Amino acid sequence: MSRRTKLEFEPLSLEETAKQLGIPQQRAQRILSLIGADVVPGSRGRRAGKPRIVRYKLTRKSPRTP
Amino acid sequence: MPKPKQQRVFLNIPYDEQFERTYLAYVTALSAMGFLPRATLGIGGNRRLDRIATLIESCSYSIHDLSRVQLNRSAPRTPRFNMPFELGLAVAWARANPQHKWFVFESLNRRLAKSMSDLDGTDPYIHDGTVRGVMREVCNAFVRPNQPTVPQMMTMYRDLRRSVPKILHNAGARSLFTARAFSDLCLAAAGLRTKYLGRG
Repeated sequence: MSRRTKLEFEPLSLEETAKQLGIPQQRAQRILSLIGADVVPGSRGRRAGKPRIVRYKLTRKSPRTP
Repeated sequence: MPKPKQQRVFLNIPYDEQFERTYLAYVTALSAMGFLPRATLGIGGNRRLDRIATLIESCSYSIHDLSRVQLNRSAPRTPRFNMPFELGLAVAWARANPQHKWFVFESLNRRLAKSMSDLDGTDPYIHDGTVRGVMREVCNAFVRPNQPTVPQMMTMYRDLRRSVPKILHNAGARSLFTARAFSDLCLAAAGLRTKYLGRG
């Protein structure tokens, strides 16, 4: 018999985790920002909220030959 | 009685400063696996035993670390009986409710046979008293889809450890073994799981 127990549940969301731990919303927000888990990619910095610029790199059509 | 939550795991460990790194390792590893750790921290009063039993019954799993079998330093020098006692409560509960699963963790191989021979035939998970060992053994005990790796857990652990002074400051506590520090650590570890592993 395997010693490993299979887990099939979905982890709780952060909101639900905070609720189950009895942590008020503001305190939860402070804890999550402390560890950087509240940051959505692209939500901070100079280009926050602006569309991402995609730069295409020119590729060689044929390999360089001597 | 409410149905035990599948995500809840009862964490039965010694509450002392020497055990702090192992305590953080358990919180990190269990959170990385998607668990919500629960502990007896903050439970007090005359009916403490009833509340501990209710807490065990509300969890689908329990982890019992029996590695602290030494006498403590302060007089009168005594061993800690809380961990084996709470293991006994969990075993009794699991006999009546087989959906509850319990796991024994130790730091030394073959010591359990000497300290608690009643558990002969139960293989403990030996973590060697190290952070990496705790993560390895939690991964040996449980398997799940999108299983986190030990290096990912170590990254989470280092981040969590860095946040400890701030968590203590915010909680106005000197020790991590307080109810508020414990719940803050659990939420921070869950946040790190989301940060590094995503939701699942």
